[in-house]
Amino acid sequence: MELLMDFFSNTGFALADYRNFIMLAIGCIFIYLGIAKHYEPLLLVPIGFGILVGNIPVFKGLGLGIYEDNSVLHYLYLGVTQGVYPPLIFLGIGAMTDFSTLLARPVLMLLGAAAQAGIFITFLGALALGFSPKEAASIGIIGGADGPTAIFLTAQLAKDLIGPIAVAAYSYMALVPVIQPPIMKLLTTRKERLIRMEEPRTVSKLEKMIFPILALMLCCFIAPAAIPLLGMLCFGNLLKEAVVTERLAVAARTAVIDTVTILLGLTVGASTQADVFLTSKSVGIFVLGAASFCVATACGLLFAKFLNLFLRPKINPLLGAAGVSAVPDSARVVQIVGQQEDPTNFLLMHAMAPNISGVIGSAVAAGVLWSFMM
Amino acid sequence: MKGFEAIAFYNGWNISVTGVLIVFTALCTLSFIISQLHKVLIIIENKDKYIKKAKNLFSRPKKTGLRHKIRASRNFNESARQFHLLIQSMKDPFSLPKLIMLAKKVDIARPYSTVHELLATKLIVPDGKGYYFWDQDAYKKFLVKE
Repeated sequence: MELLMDFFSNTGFALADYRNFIMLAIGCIFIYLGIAKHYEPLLLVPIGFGILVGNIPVFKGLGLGIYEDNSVLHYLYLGVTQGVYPPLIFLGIGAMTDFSTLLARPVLMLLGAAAQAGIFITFLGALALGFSPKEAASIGIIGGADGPTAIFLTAQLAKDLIGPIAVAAYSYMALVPVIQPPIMKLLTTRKERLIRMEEPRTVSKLEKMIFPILALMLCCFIAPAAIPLLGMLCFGNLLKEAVVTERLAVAARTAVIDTVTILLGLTVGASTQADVFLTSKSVGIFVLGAASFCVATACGLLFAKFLNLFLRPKINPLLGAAGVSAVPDSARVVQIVGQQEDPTNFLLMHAMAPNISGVIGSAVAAGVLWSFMM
Repeated sequence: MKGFEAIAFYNGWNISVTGVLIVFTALCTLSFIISQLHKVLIIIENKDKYIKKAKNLFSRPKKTGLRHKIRASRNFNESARQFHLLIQSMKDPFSLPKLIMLAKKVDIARPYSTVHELLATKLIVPDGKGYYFWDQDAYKKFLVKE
């Protein structure tokens, strides 16, 4: 009987407190949203499962928890804390991305730049709420709507906040179809939403090959701290466009990115242990993250309307919402909202331009914030 | 510390404004460069044509160029023949305004520039008294050369 009692005292049931159950419920919600609602399933399912793994109560000192030095999860988590996984994900994104629409209409790149204003406005908000500058910078980057970038910057500036910031960033990315449409409809008129975009010109292969090299050199000369992310993004894209390196490009956009996504999702999820995650700071991060996302969307939309004062023919201001870099979800949302007004208006291809520009912009913004905080 | 006091204390305003400006500068510059990229590539792809154009632009025109150019013109022979026929219907020496008027009447294309070319090739020669005559010998030589 004593042996049985000893065994029971070592089980999760005896070690758990209410916070563990809250986190387990959140993990289940993530898995449900990913599988049943198809909200970013490739991210939410690993993160959700990671939350389950990280929140099963275990003895401290057995080398099981993610924050214990000798645990397997800890070693896998090093890829997050040392900033290894995000650049590898950028490699894969680069190898998947076609920059044609961006090259065909470079003016749309400005929408991606405008949406990054949300990062800096949220940075101010976080400072005002009492976060330290490094924490504020990590929270602000959530507005970039780019999970790997948010994790990368937080790993450099505020390691303790990786869990809540990563979960907030990916949650809001998954909730793009819920968060963005009301803001888009609020800030645009029906007439504006009906605007049709011109067919983009054909872009040559040589242009596509030169672009990643130019983008890397220019952006990284301006913000050198963006090298890890932009360097890998541009490298991945060059592998894709160079054709002769097709095998490497295929590896980058399939095996590499899939493996890293699994490891990143699982370890970020597991890092949300109840005692670390359920704090007042996390609540502040979630509130500010949501605000950041909304402000970034609004900035993109308003800047598109501003550009329309000068551009002929005008652009559809909905494209501004795609300036946040949740690729390709925010572009898809633009397409859906546009088609609600006119089912024959196809904006997806055009929305990819600010969307990709947003990826570049958020990487540059992360580099800028990192260099300011060093 | 919270609120505006915290923002000011941590230099938040400066960081934000500078950050936004840097991101904008980077993407605006990149946007401008890629908007010009395809034009530069067209020039590189057709560099021989553009080098030739540039050479022509900066090289001095050859002195003998006019006669050479006129000979190279495809329609000049035909125009000279038409004007020759027209002049045959007039008395020698003839007046240029009358010739041009007749040319216009019978609908000869570009009468002014053709007359100018005929003068330059010395097929129409001034008599020194305000009239002109057709140089038959020069015309025969011209036809032989062509």
